[in-house]
Amino acid sequence: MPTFAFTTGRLMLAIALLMVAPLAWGQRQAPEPELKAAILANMLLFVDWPAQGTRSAQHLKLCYLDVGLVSVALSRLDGTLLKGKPLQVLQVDAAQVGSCHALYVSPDQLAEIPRAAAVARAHGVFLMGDSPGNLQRGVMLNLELDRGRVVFDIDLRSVRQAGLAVSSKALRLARQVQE
Amino acid sequence: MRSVLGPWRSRTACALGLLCCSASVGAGTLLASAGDLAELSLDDLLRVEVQSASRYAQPLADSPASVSVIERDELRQQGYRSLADALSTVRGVYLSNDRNYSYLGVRGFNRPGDYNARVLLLTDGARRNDALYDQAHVGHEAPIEIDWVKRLEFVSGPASAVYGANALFGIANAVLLDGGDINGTQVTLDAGSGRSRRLGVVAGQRLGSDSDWFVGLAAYGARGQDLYFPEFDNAAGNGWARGLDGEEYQKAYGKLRLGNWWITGNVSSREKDLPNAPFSTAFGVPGTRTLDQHALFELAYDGPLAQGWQQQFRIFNGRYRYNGDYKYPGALDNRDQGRATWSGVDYRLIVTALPQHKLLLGMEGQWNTELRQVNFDVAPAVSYLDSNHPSHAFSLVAQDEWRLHAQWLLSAGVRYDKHQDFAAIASPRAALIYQPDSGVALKAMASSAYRPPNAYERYYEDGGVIQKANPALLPERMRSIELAADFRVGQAARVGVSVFRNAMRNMIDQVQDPADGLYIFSNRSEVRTHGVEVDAEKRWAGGQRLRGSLSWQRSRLADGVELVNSPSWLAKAVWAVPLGAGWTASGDWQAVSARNTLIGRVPGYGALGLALSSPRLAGLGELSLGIYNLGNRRYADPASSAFVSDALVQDGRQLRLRWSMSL
Repeated sequence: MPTFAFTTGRLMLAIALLMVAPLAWGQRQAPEPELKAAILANMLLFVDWPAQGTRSAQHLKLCYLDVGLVSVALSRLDGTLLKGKPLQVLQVDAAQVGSCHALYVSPDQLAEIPRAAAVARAHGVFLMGDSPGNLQRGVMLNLELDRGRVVFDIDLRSVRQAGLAVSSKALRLARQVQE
Repeated sequence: MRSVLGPWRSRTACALGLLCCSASVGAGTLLASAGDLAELSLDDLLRVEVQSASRYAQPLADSPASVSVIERDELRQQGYRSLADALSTVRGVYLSNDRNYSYLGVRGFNRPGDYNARVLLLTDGARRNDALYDQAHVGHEAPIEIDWVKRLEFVSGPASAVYGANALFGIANAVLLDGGDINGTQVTLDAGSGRSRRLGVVAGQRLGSDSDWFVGLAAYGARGQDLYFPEFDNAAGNGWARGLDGEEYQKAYGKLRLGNWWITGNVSSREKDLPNAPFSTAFGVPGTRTLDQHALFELAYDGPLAQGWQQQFRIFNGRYRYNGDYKYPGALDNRDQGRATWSGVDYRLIVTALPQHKLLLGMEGQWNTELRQVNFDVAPAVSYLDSNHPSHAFSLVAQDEWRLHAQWLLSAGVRYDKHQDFAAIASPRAALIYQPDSGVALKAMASSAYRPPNAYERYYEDGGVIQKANPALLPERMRSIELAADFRVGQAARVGVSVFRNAMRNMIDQVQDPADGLYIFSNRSEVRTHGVEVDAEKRWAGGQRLRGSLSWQRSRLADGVELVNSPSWLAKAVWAVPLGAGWTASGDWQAVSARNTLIGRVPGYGALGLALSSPRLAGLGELSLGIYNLGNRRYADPASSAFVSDALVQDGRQLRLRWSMSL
């Protein structure tokens, strides 16, 4: 078996070379809910809200409707400073959405989206989610998994309808921007 | 018995030495706490990998097919010894074995004499069926080890629209471990029934932020069983084949990722003694054995998604070698050999720039530069066959996933294949998926698949002894429709149901020519199967898991006769229960109803397997025990025409004890 013996030999050599290669420190990994929560919170750095009376200027208020894995991870970020303001993460009823800067809707609350989207547009709330097809439902920023990493899509039309602005830096990092 | 570890002992020792030198530093960083992540910029967050997500992951609800997935914890705990063991737990799939190869049956199709040509085997997305016989090897003869797999996916039903030939009955995709899944070295020693022993080493590491290497090595040897065959209990002998069931294999797999580039190399060699006198060889005479060797070298590029465009390509070179040594009465030594060498390219462009669309365009070419088949007697030297028919094939693929509406997804695709010897064939596929909410997915799917006859089916002959050639064979085609529903129940349970109908035209099948009694592959008239599959799985917070399925199908040839090796019912359950202190008990139960054989019928059976695995014992590694066919049930699988008997009795109770240690 000259061919196989030869190829096996070469492979062994390659393996041996690989094994003595210097080992640097590794790739970062994180559980999905924590990673999504960190990205959602981080996104708020790139959103500009119009000056409006109903919302506190002292806090950045990030709301969610139901308790799920991502919401729990978001709650752990409560108190983090963003743009010099403490992040306030709290659960709200659909009726209280207007008082939030941003609202996260979980995959279990898709039925609530049409109502939440209407309130979000009327009150300038940045609406975020993580279910396929969310942009068509009126969600402004949607997270998805793509080959092991989290990616996001943005619907600029609904962002503008809500009187919000998203900075170009975030738009450049988006997988897809709908205009 | 030949020395099993002989040629490998020195190399393995050398590899182990090197591994130990590269003392594992810098494991992949797990950013577990929200606080760690809050420190990172958006740029960096988008680069963080989701823990345990695979390179080829696609949400199952969006997939335009019925997909079963076996995750890593199950692969580790259940004690599966081969891809075949694991695949046999998938709904609608069943196995048969002739003490040489494992044959996969899918949704009622498992043709005697077919070497898994209608199932596509992928390792990390690379095609592994050889170019000569189209074999998908899934038993010990497989090019990889089940221990190297972190996620095993099985797609039921035809998928030629994306993958081309061989993807008629289903696709088995083994997603292999990455270095970051190990971050060090793990050594495994097994001992089991049939005096089997196995040494396995896996090693790997992430290098820097964007590189990773993985190596898997394995060597196995077994004396095998002493077996009694009543069909050979006659004047010539007592029916016992003692010491004629030996097996050994050696395998190596290595992959290196540098940014968006992958380099992969895989070689395997498996030798099996055949105790059951196939092809009218002499019973009880040592020396009848087969050798199967696979090799694959691949360079792949998986580009970043930028401005809604992404490019992927592979170039590969594959080799397969088969040697069959057959001892005939009168000290006649016949050799049957196959050699295949192929190279190919595969390019894919994924476009997500258009809103609501995900477009895939692909191009493939494969050049089979050697497809050689040889059959000869050693002494007196007589050549019966020396044929080499190189071939090439090209294909184009287009597929669009169109999100028509928040709740509706249309996936439509077509593949155009041109094999040098056959007219071009288009294989379309369409699936409409409706997701009224995140817990429900309803799918309607229709597809067409094809397979051209391989060089073995067209050109093999053995000088008028058993089999003759049929160069005029035509491709076979399959049409399939399927309705499927998937329901999520609570946070960690799902239930799926699927109704399917398959119709195969021009099925390539081995038949006996009444004119001369020789076997020949020929195109048969239409064959139909239809059936229903139900499956469910649940995981509990305490670590318990349960997965089960029930399938019913009915298959008919044009004359109304039920297909051979086509059970009406399949039932399966796979479970695990933590016992406390890190110990886990797991098990699987499989039942197969009665099946037709070439001339009779084999009864149904149920077989139970249990496994027990320990936690990491301080400084002493981990232990596990697997018991297969616990009840020592005696059952048989239908045999091909190569055997005197039309049913082959399968193994009784088997044990395997495993010790593994992370270094």
